[in-house]
Parts: sequence; C-alpha cells; structure tokens
Amino acid sequence: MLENIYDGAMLFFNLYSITALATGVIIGVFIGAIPGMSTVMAVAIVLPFTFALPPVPAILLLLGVYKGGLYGGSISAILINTPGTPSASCTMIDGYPLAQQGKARHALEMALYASCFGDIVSNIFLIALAAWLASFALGFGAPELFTLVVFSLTIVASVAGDKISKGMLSAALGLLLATVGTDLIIGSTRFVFDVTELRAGISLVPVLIGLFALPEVLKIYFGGNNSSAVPIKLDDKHIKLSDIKSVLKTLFRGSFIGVFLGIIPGLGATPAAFLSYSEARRNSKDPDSFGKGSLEGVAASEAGNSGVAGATMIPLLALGIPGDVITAVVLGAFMIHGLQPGPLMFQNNIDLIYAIFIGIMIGSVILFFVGKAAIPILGKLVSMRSSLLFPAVLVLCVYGSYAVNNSLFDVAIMFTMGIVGMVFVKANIPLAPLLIAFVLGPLLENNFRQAMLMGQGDFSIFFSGPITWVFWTLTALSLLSTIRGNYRKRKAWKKESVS
Amino acid sequence: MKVEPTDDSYNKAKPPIYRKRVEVETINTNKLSSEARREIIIGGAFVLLGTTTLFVLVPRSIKVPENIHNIALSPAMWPKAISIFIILLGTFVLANSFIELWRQHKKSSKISLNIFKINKHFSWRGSLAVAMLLPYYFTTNHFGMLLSSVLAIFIYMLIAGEKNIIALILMSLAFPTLLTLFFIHAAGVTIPLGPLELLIRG
Repeated sequence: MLENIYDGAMLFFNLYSITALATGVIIGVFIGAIPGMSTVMAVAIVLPFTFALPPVPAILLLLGVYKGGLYGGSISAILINTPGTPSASCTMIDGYPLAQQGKARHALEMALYASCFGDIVSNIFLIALAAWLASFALGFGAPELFTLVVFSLTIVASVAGDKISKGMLSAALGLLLATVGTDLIIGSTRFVFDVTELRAGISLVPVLIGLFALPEVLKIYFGGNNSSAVPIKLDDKHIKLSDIKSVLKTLFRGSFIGVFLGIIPGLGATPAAFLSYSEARRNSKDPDSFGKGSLEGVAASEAGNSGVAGATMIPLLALGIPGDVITAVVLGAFMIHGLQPGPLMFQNNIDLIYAIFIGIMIGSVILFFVGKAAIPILGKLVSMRSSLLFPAVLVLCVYGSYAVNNSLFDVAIMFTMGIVGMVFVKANIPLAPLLIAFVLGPLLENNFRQAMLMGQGDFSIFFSGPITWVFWTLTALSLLSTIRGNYRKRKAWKKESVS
Repeated sequence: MKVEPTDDSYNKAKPPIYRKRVEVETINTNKLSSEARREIIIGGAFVLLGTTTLFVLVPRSIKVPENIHNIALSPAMWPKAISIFIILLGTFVLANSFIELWRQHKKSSKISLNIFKINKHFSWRGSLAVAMLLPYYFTTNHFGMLLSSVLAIFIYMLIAGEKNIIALILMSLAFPTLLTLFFIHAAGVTIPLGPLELLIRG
C-alpha cells in the first residue's frame, strides 16, 4: 500500500502534472464564470490539448477544469444574477441578493470556501470507496458487466430529460453511432460505405465537441446566451472565521448530500445543490432569510454541487461506468491514453490511481488559491461580450476536432454533430444520454456478444448469477421510479396548466 | 377542466378575471398542442431513421458471413436490435403525442390536427451561422486552417453583432494565429496551412 502511494506520488510530483492541474483549475474557474459556457463545454474544448500530455497530467488537467468549473459558475450567479453553469443556479438565489446588499465579496468567498470544503469531503469518499468497490467488481464476467451497463444506461437516459422516451431515443442513437466502424469480433465493417476514415469508427472528441460546444456557440445566433449585464462592484469586506463556523453543519450536510447524489449515475451537481439548499433551509434557525441574501444558502448550494465532483469518479474508476457527461469525457481521455478504468486498473495501474487521488486532493487546495486570487479579475470577465467570445470558441472547436487524428474528416463530423446537437436542443431532446451511450456502446455490445458466446446463444446466461439479478432488479426499479416520477410531474403540470 | 371557447363577444360579457383565466387556458392548450405536434415530428423522424437503418443501411453496409450460426457472432445483430428499439420507441412517442393532440382537438375544435402547424421562429442570424459552417469547412480544405479561421472568426463576430472594428480585426487575426502556433510548436499537430505553409513553418 505505502509502496503504491509512493509510486503514485512520484508520478504526480513533477512539473507537468502540477502545471496541468493548476492550468485546468484556472481554465475551469474562468470558463465556468462566463454565462453560457458550461463546464462540459470547457472539458470538451480542453480535451484535445491533452493528447500531447502523459496520462496523469492529461487526466488531472480535465479534472482541474471540472473542479474549477463547479466553483466558477457561482461567480456570475452572484455578480450578475446569471448562473455560469446550471449547478450554480441555486447559488444565485442568495448570492445575488447578498451582492445587492454590498456583500458581493462575502458571497464569493463563502462560495469558494464551501466549494473547496465539499470538494475535499467528496475526494475523501472517493479514496475510501473506489478501491473497495473495485475489489468487489473484480469478479464480474461478461454477463454481469452487460447488466451493469444496462443499469447505467437506463438511469442516465431516464434522468437526463423530462421525458423518459426522448432520453432513451437519444441513448439509442448514441448506441447506433457507436457501432460505426470495424466489428471487433469478426472484423467486418459496419456503416463505413467505403469511407476510409470511418473504418476506425467515429472518434469521441468530435462527437463531444459537436454535441456540447458547437450548439452553445450557435445558440447566441439564435438569440440565446446573450449576456450584457453589468456586474455588481466588489466591496472590501472579507469573510470572517465566525461566518464559516456558523455554517459548518450546513457545509458537512451539503457535502454528504453531494457525495450521495454523485455516486448515483446520472444525477449530477444541480439536484445536489437544490437538495442541499432545501435541507439547509429546513434545518436553519433563520429559514426566512433564505432567498433574501443568506450566507448559509450560498454555503449549502456550493457544498452540495462541489460534493458531487469526487463522488462521480467512484463508479468511473471502480467500475468503468461514467456517472455523468464530464466523467464520460474523462473516460474518453483514459481510453485515448490506452487505459481502461475499472477494477483491473486497480490491479494493473494502481500507481496511476494514487497519482490521481493525490492530484485531486491537491487540486482542491489549488482551487482555493486560484479562486481567491481570481475574484477581482473574474468580476470583469463575467461581463465579456459574447460576440467576441463565442466566435473564438468556434475556432477552438475546429482546431480541437482536427487535432485528434490530424483529419479534416473529424471537423466534418464535429460540424454534423453540432447541427444534430442544435436540433436536439430545439426539440428538447437531452444530449447527455447520446454521449454516454456512445461511450458505453462498445462495452455493452462486446459484453453482450461475449456472454452470448459463453452461453452458446442461450439468453439465460444473463440471469445466471446473483449479481446479474441485482442489476436487473436495480434496472427495473430505476425505470419504474422514473416512469412514476414523470407521470406525477406531467399530471401536476397538466393540473397546474388548467387551474 | 373543459376549455371554454375564446370567442370575443362571449368573453366580453364575463368579468375581467374570468377573461384572464380563459386567456391562460388558451395559451396552455396551445402550448400542449404545439408540444404534441413537435413530438409527433420527433417520433416520426426516429421511426424513419430506424426503418431506413434496418431495411436499407444495415443490408447495404454490413456483410454477414454465411457460415455464422451463433447470433452473437453476426456483426449485423447489434445494429438491427438498436434499429428495432428505435422504431418501437419512436412509434410509442408518435402514438402518445398523437393521442395527446387528438385529446386537445376534442377539447377545443380550434386546435388543429395538422401536425406541421408549429410555431416557426425564423432567425436569419442563426440560419446564417449554421449555413456558414459549410464554406468554413471547404475553405479549410483549400486554403488551410489559419486563413479560413481568420475569415470565419471575422464573419461570425460580425453576425454576432460585434461593432468595434479594432476588436474585430485584432481578435480575428491574433486568436487563430496564436492557436495555430500553439498546435504546431507546442502540441506537435500538423495544422494544414495552405498558401501560408512556407511562411509559418519556414
């Protein structure tokens, strides 16, 4: 164990890794602060820059962006009443009123402390649980892995949108796209149509950039994302230790909520922030101050959304299953560097796992210093004109897509997926299931076919062990609860619309 | 609750609060029917996609060796299964939305069953931005990534409404140039430069 930690530390403590992590945090904080630029978009744009890096700095760069983005979103929420990222929309409820009362710095510093706190708690859970879960998953064969991926897909597809059917259609399209290329079992081509570039399949990076960055750029031309708000000026009053002590309970509660919701695939940071906020309000001595400028409200939502960051990495590292879009991108980054997250990684690349663990803990400290130093600068950045920013992002998308394989064909794929993404956004079809299914598709198909070969064509192999039954039951429960939830939501909406 | 007819003379006889409620009901009914129409189109599009994949694309693009007896070995099995899933799910969305539209139509005869009667918001900026992707791609093929990106960023900034001419010129020249230099010299990526090949790479 100690030897593994030492090896991990040796892998982490070098100029490349620390610089990559710090750069990632800075990029994440800055991009997260700009309204209309989501953390997913930031990770998508940064991914091509990791190709030239060794695996540890590459993964840490992306995780840095993720951590930074979660905090960055709160800056515009507090200063201009526009959340930089969806998960920061809860911070806005109390952050902006605080800024209006001349306590903008108070709110920003509380958001930073709560973010770092939630992040550290989440990292501790990651370190404690990932190895245990991985050792449990070591005994999984093809049938168990197939049922696990089915469970992940149902939960992701069902929570991504307000309609389960549209989420599942989106996931099905992702699965179909994943079949393009050469079939791994008998080596024949599928949907290639004599296009040489398609023989190796569709690359993840152009699909990712096309789906999550390009529609955000195009949206400003369709009349969205146009922010021209004037930020509230920062005061000189810093937060006191007593302020932090007064919300300590809320910080712990919010972080635990974030961790709990983060482990469950598909839920993500936004529900965690809102649940943490409502629990804080329910348990507060002064619930009436919530919504009018409560520091406790800011602390609750930020601890909740940051508590998710480390926890979403648990299913990714231990089982190889991405819990949300960002971890799907991180999974892609692992694959690009020839690594497959999952239980075997804890056996074959344990030094790398420890290097990542050390990196994410230090990343929380870097986030604290970067966040503190960046507060005055970010105040100006949040009001940057989208007419300057988004055309530059478009060019970044083109360069990033090209850099994957030095291929203009990938640029064409990115443009196509961008238009598909835009159509999906307009049609209110969730994009996340498409990407996650695209990433998980090969895993699902290969395990299905391997299991069928093992069972000599007999489907009963998928019900052969207790683990497969556990996953089938979880899948059924997840589907039932989503159908029930959607039915109730729809009924309530209809009732509301006629009353 | 039944939606009342929104005839003006009928409403004018009622108190203002009642008229307001009828207006809200009409808006909500329109919203519901508009969403149902949109979902009919979505369902139809997915059914079409699944059918085309199953009956045209799979047979044309996947060669299944004749000696395959185990279903798991067939390379066409998985795409076929996904296509069938898409057709079934698309049909479900289509049928569900059609029932919803029919229900709305029965509630109020003003709700049309014409599925193409959807709210159209034409945005010339948006359409131009999407259309410009095509020339951007083709100029990249012929003139390299740097020149086409300089031109693209300039045009996209103009369409986005940027009026500061200095910012326009500076941004469109500096950003793609710095990005090109980064990718060539720091990341080791061979960026196609077209006529600028000699100037940049030397």
